[in-house]
Amino acid sequence: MIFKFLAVTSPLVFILPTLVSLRNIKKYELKFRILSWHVWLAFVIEMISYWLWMHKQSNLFLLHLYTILEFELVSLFYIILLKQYSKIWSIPTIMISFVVFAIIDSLFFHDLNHFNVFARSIECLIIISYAIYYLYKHLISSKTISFRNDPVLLTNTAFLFYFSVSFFLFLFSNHIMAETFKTYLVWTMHSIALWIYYTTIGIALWKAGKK
Amino acid sequence: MEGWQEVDIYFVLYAGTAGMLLLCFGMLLFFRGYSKRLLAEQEEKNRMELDYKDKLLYSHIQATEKERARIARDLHDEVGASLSLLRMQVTNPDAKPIIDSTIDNVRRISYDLLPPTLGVFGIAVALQTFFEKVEHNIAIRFQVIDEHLRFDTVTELSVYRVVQELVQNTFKHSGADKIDFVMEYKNDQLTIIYHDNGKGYDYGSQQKENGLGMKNIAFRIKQCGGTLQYKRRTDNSIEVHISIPQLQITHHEHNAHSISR
Repeated sequence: MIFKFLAVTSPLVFILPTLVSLRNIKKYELKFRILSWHVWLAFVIEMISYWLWMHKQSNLFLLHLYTILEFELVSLFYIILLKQYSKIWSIPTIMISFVVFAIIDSLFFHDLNHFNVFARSIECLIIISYAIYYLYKHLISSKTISFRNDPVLLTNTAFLFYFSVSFFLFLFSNHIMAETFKTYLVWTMHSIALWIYYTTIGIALWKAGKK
Repeated sequence: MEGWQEVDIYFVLYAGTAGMLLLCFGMLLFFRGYSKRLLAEQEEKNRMELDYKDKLLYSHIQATEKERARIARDLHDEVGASLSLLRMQVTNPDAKPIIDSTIDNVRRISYDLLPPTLGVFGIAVALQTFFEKVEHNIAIRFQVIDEHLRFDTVTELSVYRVVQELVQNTFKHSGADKIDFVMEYKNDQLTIIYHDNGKGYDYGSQQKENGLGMKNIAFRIKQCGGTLQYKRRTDNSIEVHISIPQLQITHHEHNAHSISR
C-alpha cells in the first residue's frame, strides 16, 4: 500500500522546490538559478516518466538523459561555489569526461531499457566528492558552519545525503528490478530519500529567495 | 544459489547505504565539530588581542595622567613661583598686568591638567567646580547626592575624566544648550546620569571615527568595574548612564548632604 502511495505521489516531491524557485527566480544569484533549472528539469523528466509509467511503457531511457543533464547542472553549481576558493579547471574536465563516459555506458554497457549503472554510480561518487570538498573549503575559509541559515550549505548537505543514499542503490539497480517485497522496500527507501532531498532543496531555495 | 545471491545483494545494498549514510553524517559532524573548535580558537585569539589592547590603553592612560600631574605640578610650583617672584621685582607698572595675566593662565592650565580640588575635596566638588567653569557657555543642572563621599583615586580621576569627555562631546557634536547631571551613591553603587538636550550623535560611529575619546570613556568605566549605556530619548538627544557597582567609600569627611544647582 505504502509502495503504491509513494509511487503515485512521487511527482509531489517537486511541488515545493518548483513553486518556490518559480516565485523567486528573478531574485536568485546564478548558482540558485542553476539549482532551479535542476529542479525544473527533474520535475519535467518526472512528469514524462510518470506519464510513460501510467501508459505501461518503459521510462528508463529518460534516466540516461537525466543523468547527464543533472550532472552537468550540479557541476555548474559547484563551479560557481568553488571558484571563490581556487581556480577550478578540473570540474569542466570532469564534466566533459563524464558526458563521454555516460554515452559510452549507454551505448556499450547498459542499453536504454536498463539502468545506466556505471554512469549513475560514478555521478554519485563525483557529486559526493564535490560536496565534501566544498564543505572543507568553506570551513577553512569562513571557519563557521551554520546549516540553518546558509542555503548553499543546506543544498550541499542535501546533495551529500541523497547521493550517499543512492550510490549503492544505483550500483545494484539492475539487480533489483523484480517486483518483490524487498525490491519495493529498497525503492521506498529511495523515495523517502528523494522527499528529504527535494524538501531540503526547497527550503534552501526559499531561504535564498529571502536573502 | 540464486536466493543466496539475492540475499547478498540486498545485504550489501543495505549495509553499503547505511555505511554511506554514516560516513556522510560522520563527516558533517566532524566538520561541525572542527568548525566549533576553530571558532573557539578564534574567540580566544580575539579575547587575547582585546586584553592586549586594554593593557596598552591602560598604560597609555596611566602615562598620560602621570605626565599631566608632573606638568601641572611643575607649572604651579616652578613657573608660577618664578612669575610671582618676577612680579615683585618688576618696577615697570605696565608689565605687572601682563605678568598677572600670565600667572592666571599658568594657574588655569595647571588646574585643567589636574584639578587640585579632586585630590583635596573629592569628585563631587571637583565636578562642581568644573561645571561652574563651563557654565558661561551652557546651562547646567547639577545634582550630587552627598558631596563628601570619597572614593579611591583611580575611580575619582576616571569619573572626572569621563565627565570632562562627555561635556566635550556635548560641545563638539550635539549643539545642546543645556546639560543635566546627576550623581548618586546608593547601596555601594555610584550612578551617574548625564544628558544634554542637543541633536544627539551616533555613539556607534563616533566610537569608530574619532573614537579615542569614546574609547577612553568606555575603557575608564570598565577599569572601574562599571558599565556604560547610551540611551536615545524620543527627542533624539543622548542620555548616558554610568553605574559602578560594589564601590567602597574610602572616607566620609562630613555629614552627608546633597548639592544641587
